[in-house]
Amino acid sequence: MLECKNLCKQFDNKLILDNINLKLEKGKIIGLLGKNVSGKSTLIKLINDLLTPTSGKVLINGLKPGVESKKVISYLPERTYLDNELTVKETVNYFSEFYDNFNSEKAYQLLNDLDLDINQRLSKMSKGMKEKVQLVLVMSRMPNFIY
Amino acid sequence: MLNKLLKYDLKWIYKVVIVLYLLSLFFALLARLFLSINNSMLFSILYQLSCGITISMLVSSLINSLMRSWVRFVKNIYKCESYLTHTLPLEKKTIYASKALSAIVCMFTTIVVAVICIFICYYYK
Repeated sequence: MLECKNLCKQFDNKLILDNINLKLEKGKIIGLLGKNVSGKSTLIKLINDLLTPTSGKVLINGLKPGVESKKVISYLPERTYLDNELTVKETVNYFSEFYDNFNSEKAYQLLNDLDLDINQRLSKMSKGMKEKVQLVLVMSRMPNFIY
Repeated sequence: MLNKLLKYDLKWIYKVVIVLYLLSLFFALLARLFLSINNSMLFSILYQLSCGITISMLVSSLINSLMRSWVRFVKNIYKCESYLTHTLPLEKKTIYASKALSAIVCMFTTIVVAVICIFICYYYK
């Protein structure tokens, strides 16, 4: 379960999130909609421990964002965040080494279904192909939360 | 987990630096070879040239190892790759420790290679 309690985030003098209270149970697909600069990405980053709250707290399965929460969260940002010097196979190995719930067989199956060459370096791929690789990596984990 | 992260950091840094190490050793051995061929002006010049190239390779190794350690740190902590680094199930101190250790290990190996190359080039009995 994801819980936000009186969550606030301020950048310089601008208050982006103002007392957010939220409870999400597992097994749901949630859409987060809002205007530009309404705090959608900020909320996601707070949940993923990429930012720290100004006040309030985020709890994932009762825990603050940290090592244990990152094991159960799979995050897909809008930008390419992989090391371009690695091949697809090396990237899959990287994920399987750090995430216990990463399924390499599923990843290779999905990559094959999407016609992606596992021996190709990420720097040689188009933006769309890299996004597919990232999506495969995220979907090959068995997390409680996917963002 | 620190070992795993350190492995990837060192692999990234050494990818380029190892080539410079090998070139330094090659030219150091070449210099030694020219030194062993005595009584010739040509080989004396070639020896000095090889020593010069060895020294420049060593300086390049030193600069590269520092630069690559720094670039790895900035890319993993502040640039786009930080979205991956900071969402790995690792403590922050583990991430920073890996960056520091990889830089220290690289500097140490650069110094060892430098000492070996200088010994090969300049040691006389």
